[in-house]
Amino acid sequence: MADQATFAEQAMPFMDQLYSHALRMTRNPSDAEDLVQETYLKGYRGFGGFTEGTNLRAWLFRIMTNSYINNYRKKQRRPDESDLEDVQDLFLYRRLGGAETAVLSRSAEDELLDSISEHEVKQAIEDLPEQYRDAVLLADVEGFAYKEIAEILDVPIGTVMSRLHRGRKRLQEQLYSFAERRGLVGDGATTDEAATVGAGMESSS
Amino acid sequence: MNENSSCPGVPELCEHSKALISQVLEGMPTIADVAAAQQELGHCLPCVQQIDFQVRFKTAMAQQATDTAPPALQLRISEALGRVDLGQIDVTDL
Repeated sequence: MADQATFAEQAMPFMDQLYSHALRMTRNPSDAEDLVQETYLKGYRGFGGFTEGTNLRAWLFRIMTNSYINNYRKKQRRPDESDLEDVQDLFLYRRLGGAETAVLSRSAEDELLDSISEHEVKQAIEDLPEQYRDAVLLADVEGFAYKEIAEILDVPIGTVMSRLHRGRKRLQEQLYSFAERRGLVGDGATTDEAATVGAGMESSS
Repeated sequence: MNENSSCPGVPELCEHSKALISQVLEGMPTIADVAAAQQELGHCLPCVQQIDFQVRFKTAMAQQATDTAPPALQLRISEALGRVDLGQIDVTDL
């Protein structure tokens, strides 16, 4: 059983991570601040039930996720889950002409990854349908293990894997389209660049 | 050329590659994690390259999709926790 007096000392170091996650979920700084505050207040209140030695960060993220679901999600319009049904496994693979062109060049890949702006990354993540976005954020931004994500989202681990698979694919597709618009890939890019990016993204896990 | 008959040489179609990529991407992969997975897939160059790309993509996402909480938020929360202690906020109402 955790001592409530130590809550702030133990929990405050996670504020940036919680705020960042809240901002991606709410897409609004004011709502994100409110959500973080609510998370801390609920965490403080329930800290006596937290088991010392277990993962406090995951515990706080679970409180935040539940708070968001109960209080914020209902007032926001979100893309439907079915929006992802049309994502093809080989979307980019086919688009770039198949395996024959899939010759990787690390420097071109680096160039693409470097060229994608912070704003574009955040926008692409925020545009993901909610269930996929949450899984991608928890796995790829926050670095939680799949089992922890399953506990935070209260879904089976198989569901986490499925959401991650689809979410990562959609995210890469979206970022590819940003790069395409800027002429980094596609018709406006060199063959090597296009092949490079496609080969890297076509089989997102 | 792919020496493993079970791997078609296309990561999307290779179950072993997909499983390893998923395993490597769990949590925050270390250089050793990536190297071990790539060594295991050493027979399939596209699969090795795919792991490398996915790890670098994940790292880029983690670096770029983060924000810092406003300095005033910590003060606001500390004050709110104090008000809970004083009974001015009932957390059960949240």
